[in-house]
Amino acid sequence: MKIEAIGKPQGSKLLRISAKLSEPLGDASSIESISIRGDFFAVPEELFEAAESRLIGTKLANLATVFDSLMAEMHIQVVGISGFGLLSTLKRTIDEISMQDTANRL
Amino acid sequence: MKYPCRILRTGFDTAYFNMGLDEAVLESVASGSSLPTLRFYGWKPRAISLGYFQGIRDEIDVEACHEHGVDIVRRITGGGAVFHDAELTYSIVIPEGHPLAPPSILDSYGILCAGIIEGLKELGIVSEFSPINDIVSGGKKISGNAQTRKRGCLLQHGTVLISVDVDEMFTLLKVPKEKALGTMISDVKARVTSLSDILHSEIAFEDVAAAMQKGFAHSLNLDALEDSPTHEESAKAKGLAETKFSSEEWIFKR
Repeated sequence: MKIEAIGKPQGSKLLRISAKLSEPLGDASSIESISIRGDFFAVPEELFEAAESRLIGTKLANLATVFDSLMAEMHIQVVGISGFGLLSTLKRTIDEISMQDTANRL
Repeated sequence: MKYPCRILRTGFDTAYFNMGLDEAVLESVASGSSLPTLRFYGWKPRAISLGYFQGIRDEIDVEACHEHGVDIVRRITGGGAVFHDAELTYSIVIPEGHPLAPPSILDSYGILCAGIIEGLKELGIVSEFSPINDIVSGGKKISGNAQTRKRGCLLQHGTVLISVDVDEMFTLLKVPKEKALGTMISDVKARVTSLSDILHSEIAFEDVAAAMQKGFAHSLNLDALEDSPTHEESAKAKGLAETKFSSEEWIFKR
């Protein structure tokens, strides 16, 4: 399922995420594609783009840890973005979708 | 000890050339052929610069920019979209390992932004650093800054708003959907200020540049040497403007 998420979690700049997640949506969903945009900083920028593609296949439950580990492993200095920020932005949107689904069924 | 630093005051250029010259200077400082460099410049025609990681359609009304004669360029630095109209832009390039370029991006924002705060003081304005990358006066943003590290050098550029038409600014820049309802738009507009707003008078670009030059020199302890870009830097900047910064591939990359 394609998801467009936007948020400014604590400690983060504004994050916009376009992602395709396996269904059913939840912690076990895998990331099939992801684009992370926003006014954050990640240096070197080009390596961040490579790290972004390495998130594919990650389970949502592991996203925060995998993202933070990738940044450390690839020596990418990030400011205004974190694994927690990404996960909470995506989860908020997923929760909204779930609530909407429930409301539609009632 | 004073740190030798080349000062460039390059006047007004296109968005594409401006970003090209920042990158060309970074390369020449990285190669050791130029001193650490502080540059002041303006934008003609007016332009919006987009942060490296921003989606152009997320942040900018591209059609409105065309109608208003506003160019669009993507920066090599992260951060947010900036409307370059009545403002002064600076860039500073310093080799990593230099005392003014500590490894932490956050730390170096604090050090380098002190130059702007001191420059504003020259103009009689009290301001403070607002992490991550802003400077505020009276709680309102007057300067935004963005930084990258490439080829062993730090490049930071940023702006000081001389005057601002917030209505036009927010016609061209898209306010995120979650801020577009209710009072948040007014909040965003109210959060921005300018030299003219604070001083209640007009102030010339050259006077702001002179104040900022003094501010940087004083707070960063620079031994400032006024100069011009080298022939190689200008040629490189022209090439980058034509092949990179004005290309749709670069501008629309996200």
